[in-house]
Amino acid sequence: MVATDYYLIVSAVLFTIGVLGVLVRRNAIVMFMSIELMLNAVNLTLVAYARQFGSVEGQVFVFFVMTVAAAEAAVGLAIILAIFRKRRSTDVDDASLMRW
Amino acid sequence: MWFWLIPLLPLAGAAINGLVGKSLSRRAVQFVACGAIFAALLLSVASVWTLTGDLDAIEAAPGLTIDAEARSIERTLGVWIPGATGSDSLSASDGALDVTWGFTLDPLSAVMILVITGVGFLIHVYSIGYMHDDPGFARYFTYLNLFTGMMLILVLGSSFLVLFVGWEGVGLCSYLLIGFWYEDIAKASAGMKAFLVNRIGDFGFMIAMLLIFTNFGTLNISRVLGAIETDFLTQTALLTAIGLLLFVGACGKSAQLPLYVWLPDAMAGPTPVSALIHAATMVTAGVYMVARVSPIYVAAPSAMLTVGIVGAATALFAATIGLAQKDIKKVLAYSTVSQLGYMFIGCGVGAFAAGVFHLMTHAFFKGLLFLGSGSVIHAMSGEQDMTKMGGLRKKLPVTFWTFLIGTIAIAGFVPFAGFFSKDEILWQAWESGHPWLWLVGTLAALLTAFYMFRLVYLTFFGKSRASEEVQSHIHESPKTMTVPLMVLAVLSVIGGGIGLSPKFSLVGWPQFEHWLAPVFAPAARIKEALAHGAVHQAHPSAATEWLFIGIALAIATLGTFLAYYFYRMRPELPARIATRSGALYRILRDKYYVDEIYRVVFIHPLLGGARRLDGFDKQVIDGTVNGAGIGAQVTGQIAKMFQTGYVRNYALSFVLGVVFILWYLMVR
Repeated sequence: MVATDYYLIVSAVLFTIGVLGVLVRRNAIVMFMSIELMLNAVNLTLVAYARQFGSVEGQVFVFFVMTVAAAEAAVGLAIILAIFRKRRSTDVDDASLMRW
Repeated sequence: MWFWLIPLLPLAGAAINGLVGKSLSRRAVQFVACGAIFAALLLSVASVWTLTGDLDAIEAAPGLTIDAEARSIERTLGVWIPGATGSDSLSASDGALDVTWGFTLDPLSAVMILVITGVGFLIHVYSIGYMHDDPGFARYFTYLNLFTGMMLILVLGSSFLVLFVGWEGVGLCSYLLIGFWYEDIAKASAGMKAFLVNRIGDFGFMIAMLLIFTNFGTLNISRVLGAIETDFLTQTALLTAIGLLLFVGACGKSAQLPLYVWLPDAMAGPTPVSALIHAATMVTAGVYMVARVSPIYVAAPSAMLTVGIVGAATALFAATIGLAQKDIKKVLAYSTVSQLGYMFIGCGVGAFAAGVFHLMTHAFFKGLLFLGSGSVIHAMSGEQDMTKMGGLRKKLPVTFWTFLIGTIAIAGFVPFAGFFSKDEILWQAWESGHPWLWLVGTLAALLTAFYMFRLVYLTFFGKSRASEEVQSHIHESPKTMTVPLMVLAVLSVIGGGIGLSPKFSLVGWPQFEHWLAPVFAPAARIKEALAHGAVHQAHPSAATEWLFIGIALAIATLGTFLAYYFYRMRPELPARIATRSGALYRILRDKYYVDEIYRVVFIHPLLGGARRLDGFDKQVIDGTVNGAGIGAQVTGQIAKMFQTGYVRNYALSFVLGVVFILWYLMVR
């Protein structure tokens, strides 16, 4: 049986990559992909612990997370589409009207 | 006893004229003002009459304290500053200040109120004519009444603090009246100068009051003076300090060296003001005060001697300046300073009654002289320069004769008033062992006779040096102005009849010194107590007295003759002497450059310091306050840098925050 630690490490790495992606990339769609990556990394953690303790609750929670991720992606992409239609650009830095 | 109303009547007149005077007719205003003073005069006469009678017959009333031995009646009107016990008690005050509004009537204040209301009334009547065409008619009479009320408070006050109220009040009114024509900046500045120099004196007075309070526990005058006799005779240092500080106040108010500089400038005010305030009443407040606290000075011989020396020096100093002045009012101003010096010589050698006597006679003839000069100025269409006058004798007969009487009085000729008072002071100076003071006083008397007759000759004799225009307008003044002149002239003649020492008094007239004896009895007792070791000097012979009288008359005659010589017989001489002695003449004419010296020594550094402080205020203090505002602004500028508008930056903040929390939880 593979030790839980390894799953956690993979999950952590995935999460970090996701975070960096959100911070560094300028394309809005890529930012969303990174957010999905972060959510899935969390899923992995939950499943790993579910396997370790032999309980089903972790796996049930994963379902919830996936649902939320899907809904959020739908809404977010709709917003990006609306902005893109106005500005013809997916660059997040262009939406900086709230500066001083 | 209604004498406490005496100060309040003029104050009421001032209130009426001040509040509604502008809408009243001229007649109404003058009626209110003169009526108030006349009522005060009648009340004063009645009160003094009661004082001469049997004091024990007066029925007791709450607030009334009668001391038959000191011949004083004190009337309290209510508490002003409630201390521990609510009355001016000497002992149980626990350091708390008790002051009641109280007025004391005794022989000394009786003399003063008669002079103030009497001469004041004459001057009010005179002002009706003099100020007739002035737009500020109501304002003038308001101030004049206010002044009279304050002066009466000063002389009747039974507590140092009440006296001080009057003291400050007359200083204020002096400022208001000197700067009456305030649109002229020079006149307004003269008023300011008077007030500021007065304040310097008041500073000394206040410190003296502090000393009195901390050592005696009360500010009630009679209690303080009584305590000196019983408890404080040995504390010479304290009494000397108090005496000198009070005298500083007197120097300011009564224009002695070095605080006399305001009085010549004060001639910027209307001439009746000069007559009332700067001849008859306000400037005599210092003399009154010194006489009132005579026990302090008798118990502190060095302070008393200082008073005498300053008085003598001032008398001579001012007389020398008066010699070289061209403005008729300036000559009279310096003459006033000089005569005040005489009064202080009198007080300085212990002859307080003589000093007060000279105060009274001076009020008569100096008031007369000022009013007369006002009449001259009025006739000359406002001209005050004597070199442009001349020959007014024929055209202004009443003015001329009354003025001449005043001049003879001030020069000290028998039997006019000035002779008796001046002679008595000089005699007492010699008698009490101060020959130098006598000498200085006699010299000043010589100069007085000289410059006064110089004034008369330049103004009234010779050919007129005025322009044709001015000459055509010369006319004698109206009755409201000439009648007071005549009354004062009569007083200047007979005033001396009240007599001072036994050798002069007329049969049946009460002797002045005898009248004032109860007031100065404590001082006399202290003098006895302090001299208990020394040999009592033998009483000088009558022959010596007559010798001194002869000297005084000879001096007066000499001064008059010199004036006659230089200004009637050889009128071209003064101009020649002036050019020949160049610098000396200029020094006298320019008043020894005292004003300029004061400007350089005191005013410039003070102004410089004030400017520096102002700069400090603007730069440092305002800078700090403004800096606080600027600091807030800068902080805002820095803080707003965080609002970049970039979503990714905000996301970065999230991440950093989460990292920090994780780290914190792990490390803890």
